[in-house]
Amino acid sequence: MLMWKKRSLWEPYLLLLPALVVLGGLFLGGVVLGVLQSFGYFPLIGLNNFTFEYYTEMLSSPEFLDALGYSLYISVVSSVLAAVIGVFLAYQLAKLPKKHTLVKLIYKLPIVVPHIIATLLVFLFFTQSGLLSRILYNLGIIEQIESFPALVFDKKGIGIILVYLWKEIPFIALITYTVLKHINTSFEEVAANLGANSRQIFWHIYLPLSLPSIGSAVIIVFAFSFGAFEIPFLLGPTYPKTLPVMAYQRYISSDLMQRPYAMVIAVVLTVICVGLIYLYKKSVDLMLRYN
Amino acid sequence: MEDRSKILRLTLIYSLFFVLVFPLLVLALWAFTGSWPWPGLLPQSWTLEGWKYFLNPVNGALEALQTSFLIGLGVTILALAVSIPAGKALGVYDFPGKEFIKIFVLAPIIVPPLAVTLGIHINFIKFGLSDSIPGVILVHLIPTIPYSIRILTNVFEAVGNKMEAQAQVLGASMWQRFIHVTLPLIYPGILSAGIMVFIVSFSQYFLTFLIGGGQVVTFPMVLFPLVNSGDRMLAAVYSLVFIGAALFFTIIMERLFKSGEERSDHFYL
Amino acid sequence: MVEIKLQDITKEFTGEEVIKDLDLTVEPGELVALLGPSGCGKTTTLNLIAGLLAPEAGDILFDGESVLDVATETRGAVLVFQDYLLFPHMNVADNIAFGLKMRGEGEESRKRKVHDLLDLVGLSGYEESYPHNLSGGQQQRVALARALAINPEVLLLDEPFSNLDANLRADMQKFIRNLHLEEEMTTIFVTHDRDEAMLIADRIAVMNDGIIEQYGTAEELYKHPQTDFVADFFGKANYLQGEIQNGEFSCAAGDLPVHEDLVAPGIKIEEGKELAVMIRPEFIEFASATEDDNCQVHLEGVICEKRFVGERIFYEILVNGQVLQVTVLPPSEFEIKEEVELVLDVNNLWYMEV
Repeated sequence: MLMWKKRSLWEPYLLLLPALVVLGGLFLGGVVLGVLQSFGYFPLIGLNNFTFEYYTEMLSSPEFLDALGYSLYISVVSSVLAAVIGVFLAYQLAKLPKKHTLVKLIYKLPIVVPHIIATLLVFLFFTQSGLLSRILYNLGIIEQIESFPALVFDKKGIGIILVYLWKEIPFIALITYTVLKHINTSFEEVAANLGANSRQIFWHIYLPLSLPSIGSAVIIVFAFSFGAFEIPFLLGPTYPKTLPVMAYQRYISSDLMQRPYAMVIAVVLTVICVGLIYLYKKSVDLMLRYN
Repeated sequence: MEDRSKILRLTLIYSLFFVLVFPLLVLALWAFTGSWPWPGLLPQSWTLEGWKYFLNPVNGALEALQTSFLIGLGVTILALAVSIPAGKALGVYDFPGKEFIKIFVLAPIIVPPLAVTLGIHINFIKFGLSDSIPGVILVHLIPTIPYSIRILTNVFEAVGNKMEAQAQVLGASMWQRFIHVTLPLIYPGILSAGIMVFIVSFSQYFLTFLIGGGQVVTFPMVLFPLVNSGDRMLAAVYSLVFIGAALFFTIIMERLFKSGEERSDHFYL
Repeated sequence: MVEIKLQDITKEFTGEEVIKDLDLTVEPGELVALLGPSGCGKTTTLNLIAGLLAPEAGDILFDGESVLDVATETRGAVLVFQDYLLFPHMNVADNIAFGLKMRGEGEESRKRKVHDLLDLVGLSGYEESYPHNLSGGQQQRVALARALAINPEVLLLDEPFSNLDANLRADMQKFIRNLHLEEEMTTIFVTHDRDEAMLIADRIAVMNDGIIEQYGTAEELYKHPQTDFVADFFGKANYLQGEIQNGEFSCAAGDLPVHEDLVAPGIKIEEGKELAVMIRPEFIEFASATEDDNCQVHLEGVICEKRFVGERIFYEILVNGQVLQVTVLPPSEFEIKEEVELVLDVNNLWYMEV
């Protein structure tokens, strides 16, 4: 009896099955295989024994530690700056009168432009022969092409950070703007009625209410820049590398014995990002609480 | 006082706006630049060489664009096929493990695809999927499915399953309910999810590079070496084509599928 | 026409019983209201009958045959939801023809039926309109027409009038009552509005907390409630506590006659039994000099409160230290502190467990 009653119990799992098979096979499979190879289980090249050797060696190498530091530095600086500027932009946009529709449309453009093209833009503007250096020359601030500071291929990662900022400020602004628009304006009226000025209203009403959404957006942005390959590969210095670039170069090395080291880096990237997922979940929970 | 802060706000917002948009104008300038030596502020000569190069079939750019479209469409269809049921499960039902699955399907947005793909590459080789278009389509599902599931989950949350229940008591079978009621109701969501998936797949470099092994040449694969080599004019041409193609696809999709003035904005009651 | 029988139905949501051992029989062609406060399980009961939910225990029978294994879409019980749920992407004609189309009925006959139904619900000419252009009342009539299109044997209505304004509500109530009579269906509707239930339904099942407190006609429920819940749901009541002494009911207000017809089922009248008598305020009258009937009970008291609310006057009257509420129609002019004599019909006394 009640075939369909039982079915309705299983239905959500049935509906999720294709997605879980695809993601489980590809994503989870990739994680598991990466972990296995990082412990030295790689039968194809005759490695069959589990060992911590690759971990101890990799995690104590200065090259790895520098790469880890460099990756974290780039991601932290770019995400924090993008968050601050993006939130500011969103708040100003929300305050903007209705007639400025073009601004509200066009600021989103960088979101759809791929990172490779954003990289090209940095080349066009910030290399020594770039547009910025030309402008400075014409203003009489620099005398020759060599006096323009190296902003790409530099150890400070300025070129890389600029790409991320250009892409991510509009992204954070878009998310924040959407949330701000959905916050009931009567909160602002109540606060103003109780004597709050516009700065206080921002700090005590709008910012706390939109913080969980901003938080989750910043985590996505941080994770992206932490795991991206193209931008640091194109714009970064030869040393230090970022973790993804380092992992990739170990991976394509003709010496197959380098593979397990590449996997150790991949696992480190994964573990740090799983930690970020935990933070993401926390901020989403907060978001739901406010709704 | 009020006026000054307003002026300040407008200045700030427009300068930020300028910073975000001006680079794209310079990009457009470079696409037609013959020579532009330092320290000139404007190009010295103009040319269409880059565009001729792009259009010349010998250079494979058009073919790469075609491959990109083909892969993008394949990824979009597959991603939607698995995301529509998943979105329904997560948006409409309550069941044990829902919270965990919600996080799990979003994880590929946060965990770098690079880390995952390095691990699974060897299995793609083993199953003959590397260096082939099907393999590339499959690997593109990793970064795209989280977005489509997320969008469709939100849509199903808004639509709910009451309309389906109503159709059911009126005698509609499972497939009839899906075709006649659910599908038309989630249509806008399918459209935005589809566009999102396509754009993400279309912009993908690393996954195509690794799994395609240089054999599957998509447009980003052609663009990447140009950016790297410093041929600014040609890189600018290809970039403009890239942005144009993405916008073109988005607009075509919206035009094609959002026709019919009567179904304007009443979908989410 | 179908007889609907619910036997020992139990329904749980996440381990909590929202319907407990519910029994209900609806005669063929009857119009029954499920009445109760929100959260009492009445909508759940409707969903169970329609087949959108499955019970954990018990059986649902249509004409004596279990329908638990019959899928919702073939059960023949059409549910009209509270918010109408017209398909927003279809016009009125397509909405109404939906069920017919699903059955594979031809376009010609669909068109004819849509035309007839729009005529029936008074919306001729609205075929091409879209739901978002209709008023609430029009939407509801389209939803009804859509349900009627497939000639349901059982029509289930969830709070059909709650989204309508007062004028429209009265019209629709009359409309549905007539429709039910014409179309020869068994109809069950859910409401939280007592007046609505009394006005339309043949019988009312009063639900509270997942059980049926009492099932009967409006008059039975009003005059002879079996529980406090039902008594209070159907209006104000005075309760006087006392016990049986020498074959009479003795309470603070005085001695009152008692016999078997005046006692809730299951109560035995025996010496020393403690009971409460329920007297509706509108059943108590002020005595006039002319009438004298031995069927009447006489009480004397002092007016201690008077409230004028238009079509009626509320009094509170102190009878031997016991306050009685009395509702009368104007003009009846008594002032506070005035001594009055009250009469009430013996048949309007109703004895219940304390």
